[in-house]
Amino acid sequence: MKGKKTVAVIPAYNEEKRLGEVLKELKQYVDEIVVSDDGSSDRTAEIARKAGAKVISSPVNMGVGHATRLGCDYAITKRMAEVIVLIDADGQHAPSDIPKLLEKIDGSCEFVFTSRFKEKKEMPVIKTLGNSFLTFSTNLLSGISITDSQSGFRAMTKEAYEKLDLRTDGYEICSEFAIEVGRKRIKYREVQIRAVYDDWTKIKGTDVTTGMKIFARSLWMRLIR
Amino acid sequence: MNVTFLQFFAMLTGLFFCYHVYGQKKRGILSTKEAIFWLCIWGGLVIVSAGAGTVFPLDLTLIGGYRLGDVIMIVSIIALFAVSYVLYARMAAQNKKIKELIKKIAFDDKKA
Repeated sequence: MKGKKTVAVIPAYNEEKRLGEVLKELKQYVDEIVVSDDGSSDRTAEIARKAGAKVISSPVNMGVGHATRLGCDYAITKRMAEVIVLIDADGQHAPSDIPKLLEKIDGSCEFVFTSRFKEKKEMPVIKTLGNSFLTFSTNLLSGISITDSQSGFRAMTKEAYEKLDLRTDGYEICSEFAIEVGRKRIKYREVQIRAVYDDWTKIKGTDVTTGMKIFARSLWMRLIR
Repeated sequence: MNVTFLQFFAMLTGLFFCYHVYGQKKRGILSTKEAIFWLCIWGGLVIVSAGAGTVFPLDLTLIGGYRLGDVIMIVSIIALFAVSYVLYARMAAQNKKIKELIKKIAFDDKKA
């Protein structure tokens, strides 16, 4: 992917605790960083600006899905991104894995999913079960085969992003990406990544209720939309 | 075929909302599959109402000993479908407007 402008998009909601460190490490792997601040009430936007990221702020909290779309749209239309890397703001993903994702993007692959499968043993049991169920159901609904549908770390070309019809606002965007990739027959690959699980990242993300919502909405979007 | 007032009312309601769905689809508020889903609901009401005397298990005949409870129940179901659909469509339209507004505010922010 040499010569193509790569922009990292980070959806962030009240992430002042970890965002600074993530941005500091991220800089060396991408050409530009866009932080999509989802109506944070803390210093998320301020920290991101100080770290040199472009920041777009939603006036209200709309959800991670909405923040992701907003950030990607901004990266493409205003920052002329040719490749987008999505990464979490809580430090769960290692920016040093980005080259692994980017080297997969070529003529035969437009979208790269990531899998934390190797580190699943570090996940709390309930999250492991939930993740396995959601990945199984997402694979069924999308017709693609991946091992971790809920990982927020992914890369795609501008062309691939523009083909996707993304509409969801919450965590279900992870499944929606997979469903849309399957529906639009976008060429994809999956790479193994390291995931950092500590007290902070373990409490972030989806719980049982959110998991059930993701499943119900995935079913709805596959059948009705 | 004898069509009772209630059958006629139900068919009219179904046809009106089929047309409404078509309008919402044309304005891009509903996607194709969403429009098909709601068309099936309202189209189903039209079909069931038209054949109420033969395929619907309840007696919808308004002349000659109809049951008040059945009439209330059926009218209520129609009303509930109407209300839920109107709310769904209105919410989808409002959501679309809110998201466009948020996008405009976020993109126009000079501090970016």
